[in-house]
Amino acid sequence: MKRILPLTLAGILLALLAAAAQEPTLTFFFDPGEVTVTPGGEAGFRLVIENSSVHEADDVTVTLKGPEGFSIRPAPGVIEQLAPSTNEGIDFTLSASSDLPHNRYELLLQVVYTYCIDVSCFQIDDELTLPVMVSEEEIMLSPILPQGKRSPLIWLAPTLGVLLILGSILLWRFVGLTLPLYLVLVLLIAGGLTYGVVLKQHEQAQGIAAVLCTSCVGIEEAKHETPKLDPFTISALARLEEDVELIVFYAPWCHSCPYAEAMVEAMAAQTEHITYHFINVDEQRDLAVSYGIVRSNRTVVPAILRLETGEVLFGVGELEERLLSLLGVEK
Amino acid sequence: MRLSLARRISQGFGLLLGIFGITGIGMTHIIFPGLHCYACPLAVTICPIGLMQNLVIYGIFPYFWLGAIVAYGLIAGRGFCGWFCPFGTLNDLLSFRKVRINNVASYSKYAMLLGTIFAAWAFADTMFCKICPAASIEASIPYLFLGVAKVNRPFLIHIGTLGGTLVGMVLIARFWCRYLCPMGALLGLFNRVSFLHLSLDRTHCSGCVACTVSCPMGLEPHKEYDNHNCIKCGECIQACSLDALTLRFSPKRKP
Repeated sequence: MKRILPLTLAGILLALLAAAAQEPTLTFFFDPGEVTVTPGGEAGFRLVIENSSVHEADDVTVTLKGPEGFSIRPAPGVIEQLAPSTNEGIDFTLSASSDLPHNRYELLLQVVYTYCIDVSCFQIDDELTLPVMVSEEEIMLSPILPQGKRSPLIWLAPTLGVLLILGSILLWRFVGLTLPLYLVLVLLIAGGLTYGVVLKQHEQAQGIAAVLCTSCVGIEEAKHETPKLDPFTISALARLEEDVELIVFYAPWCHSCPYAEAMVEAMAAQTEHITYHFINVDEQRDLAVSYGIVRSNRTVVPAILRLETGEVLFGVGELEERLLSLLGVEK
Repeated sequence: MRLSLARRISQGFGLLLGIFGITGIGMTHIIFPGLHCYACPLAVTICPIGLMQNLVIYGIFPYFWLGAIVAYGLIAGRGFCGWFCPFGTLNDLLSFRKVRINNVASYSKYAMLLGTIFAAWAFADTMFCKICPAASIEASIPYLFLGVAKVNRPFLIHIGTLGGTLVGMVLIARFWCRYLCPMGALLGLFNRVSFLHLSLDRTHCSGCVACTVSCPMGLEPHKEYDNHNCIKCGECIQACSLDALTLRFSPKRKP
């Protein structure tokens, strides 16, 4: 008995330690954070896996669990060893079947890996979701290019360009030759515009200019804080009796949009009468236009639309009061 | 056709392009060859400085932007400031005091350009847009009437910078173009090689300084005809009774 008790306690302690040790050690990031793909088309994304623990992770295997209609390459994505305090990325190509209806989906990825502490090894099973927008027209408005499409040669052209410019300027200033400088400038114009169009930079530029972010051009101050509801707002929301559907129009690069989204979420958490959706205007410009989130050809973000009345709020200034007014309740 | 009339017509085209959205056309892929806010409710073109800041924020090498800027620079350099830019036209309208330029201070616009790039990188935000006087006229004020903007601190900052710039313009002709415009700085880099350029026939020049008196940029055209500040407006050509100065459109043969 004297031996059984310490052994049992040691066993329980080991089991507790093992349970405590069996914690996920990896963190995951997607680049870009949201993927747009056309039905029957393909899009690239990178899964960056970071091992911030002191243990090596082995056989990190990424497979697609759903939804139907999607597939990824490579399948599965594998990293055999991921050393402590390092990160590594897997470049995936996402394919969407041609019969997928236009909609927003959540790609479900399963990540399985193992790590060992001395002789005890643990298998961790993690699930990740990646927002995917299936739309007919793949709008490349997000200025962040998927990492997988970047090549080390991307800096070759700029470096060559700078060297050519410097060389031609030296020839111009010290030898009096103007022709090389003109040739280089014409080359820069033709090369820059052509390669820019190939990279769809003209569409990025148009996208940036076509959406008005109220805090970006100094129409109002950007708000980065997490909104805190006033107690009077909370009691006012409790008095809300009719069902309200709100749509928050945002752009991923807009500084004040997260504040507007968080404010709507905070208010919706206080009452079951509020339902809400978020729409990325970079990807669903037509929807934004059809809902009237446009002022003189500019899609304005952040904007909050009450679907039942068609009323729209722009920006984040005094948002709490204006939202209450939009909901038809008073403090 | 007189040069001044041709310039007014060209400036009219610049203004027209600036408000072409009135026809219902949406944003195009064209980068505007001057300072014109893309947030303007009637804009159909992209502000080069606004776009530049966004590209800095996103860390994208700006091939398309660079191609367009070099093209504008090679075609006319700062000629766009004198012949096309709507904010330059406003400067023109208030050009009452054509005082001499401070050459050292004129480099402040390059500091403004570098500061704009640095601020975009450091704060990951389009900081210049928040103080841009062109944006005050073309975005802040129109959006106040469209019910999007309100009289708040950013609006008052915009009005403050606009007011300060207007006072500067009244006191010093082309004040903004001389000392502060980052787009002027960009185009000024190409001024000495641009196809549109001033040409001086020294045999005709008597040194009467009629050109100096007429220059809205406060230059001495008979000495500084290829200066980086020259906006090629042609005021000096009209002031010169001896036809010593001409405006040409051709590649330069000598530096």
